[in-house]
Amino acid sequence: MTALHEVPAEGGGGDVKVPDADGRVPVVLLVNGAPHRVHVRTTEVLLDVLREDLKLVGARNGCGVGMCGACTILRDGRAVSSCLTLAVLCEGADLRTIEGLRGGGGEGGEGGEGGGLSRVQRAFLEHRAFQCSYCTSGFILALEALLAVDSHPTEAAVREAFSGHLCRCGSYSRIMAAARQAAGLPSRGGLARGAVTGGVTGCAPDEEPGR
Amino acid sequence: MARLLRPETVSQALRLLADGEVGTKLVAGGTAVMLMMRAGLLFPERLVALEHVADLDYVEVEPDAVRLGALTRLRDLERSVPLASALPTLARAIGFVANHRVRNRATIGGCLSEADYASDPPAVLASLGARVRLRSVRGEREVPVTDFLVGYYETVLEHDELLTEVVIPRPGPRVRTTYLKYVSRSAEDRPCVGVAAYVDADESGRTEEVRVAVGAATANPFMLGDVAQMLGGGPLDAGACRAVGEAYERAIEPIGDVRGSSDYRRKVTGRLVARALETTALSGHGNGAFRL
Repeated sequence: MTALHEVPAEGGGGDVKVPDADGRVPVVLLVNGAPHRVHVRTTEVLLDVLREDLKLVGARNGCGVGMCGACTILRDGRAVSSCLTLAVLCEGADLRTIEGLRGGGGEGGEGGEGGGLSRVQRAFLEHRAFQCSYCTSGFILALEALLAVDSHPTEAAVREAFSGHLCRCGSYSRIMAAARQAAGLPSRGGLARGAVTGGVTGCAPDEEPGR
Repeated sequence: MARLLRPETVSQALRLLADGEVGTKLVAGGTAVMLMMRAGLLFPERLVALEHVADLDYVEVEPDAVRLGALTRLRDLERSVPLASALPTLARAIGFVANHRVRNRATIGGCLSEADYASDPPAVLASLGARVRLRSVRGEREVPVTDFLVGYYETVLEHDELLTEVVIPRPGPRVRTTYLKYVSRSAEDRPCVGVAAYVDADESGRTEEVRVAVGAATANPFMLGDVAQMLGGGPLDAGACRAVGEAYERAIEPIGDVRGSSDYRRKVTGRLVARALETTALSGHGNGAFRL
């Protein structure tokens, strides 16, 4: 990012953004590979800017405090809660929403149902890993972020990546089945026993000492 | 509406803080600041974003100490191989904070500066005798974590100071450490009570130094200073572990909140302290962190 050095009004150094009369500052956000110039309030969260200014509604407003995962996006490849992210602090970051996913690795884009979708998206469709789908983009992006750094994750790693993602319909066993497929893990057949009780939201069960 | 400043070096940031402007708030990962702004608790007039400040993102393992740059993200600490081999309990406990999305943004310096009592790292750092380095244009000072955290969301940071580094003395080869996180609501909740134990004992089990820090139950990590004395240098057997737990249970005056009443936390503290010591000294599980 280009910085304005020597800004005397602020004691020198760094980049300064002063809000206009409307309380807004200009920001360029790189979303799904394309730059977007928006005017945002300095206190505005990225989730609101994505949904209201850029009309990208794949990230959903759930709990508003970073606990449910519905607003998950990828920031420089890492899953983050867009409800806890100030939009003005995203300049220079590579932001990716569910709308930015594409089929890759020669498997996607073959047309027909599921064409152009990513491997993870297709697995979720095949396993019908949702009911209302409010949480789905968050789960998918969490898994995409994991697979990007670990193409053959363990089931424990998948569960860990899903920690802090809540599905209020309770589709966890289907979500895990889809995730196993996308991650190349052996399927457990049907609605896998233990997929829910192991705690998708709770990571891999820890060893408990003294029990 | 807040002005936004983005210094790119520590000295730029310190110069900005030095003017003493009221309503200035530092923001690193932003997860805590955002929560407070959304809750209507914080109305900054000037946000100083540390996102682009260079050179504060590191893990340095030295013979005597481990140094963590204040802007190192919790996720990077949790996954740092050098940190996991030097201080496995700390690395694991940092992985217990919130969820992966929060840890992808939150920094260790922000975590400590926020001084939230219901947090995992402070108790572990307190038990390890960690210090924080605070810098300002006036100079710098090092403060033990136990003195740095002085109250609920309160630290000794002056308005012109920035926490730049966490320094953790490396425990000797005999030392075993454990962190037990007890959650009362959901797996990734903040701790109801967290107990960090540090035990230095010889092969015969005679204890040289024993430290126990209780987190999330009081304004800052709660430690009794004389645990080894309480044991009279004797071995840390099951009875001794229980006795220390009972001493903590008598001495602590916990907060009551949504994760448990004061009374409940007091009882949990007694049991958890005993179990943390047992785990550290007796079970062979030493050097780890566990969620209960």
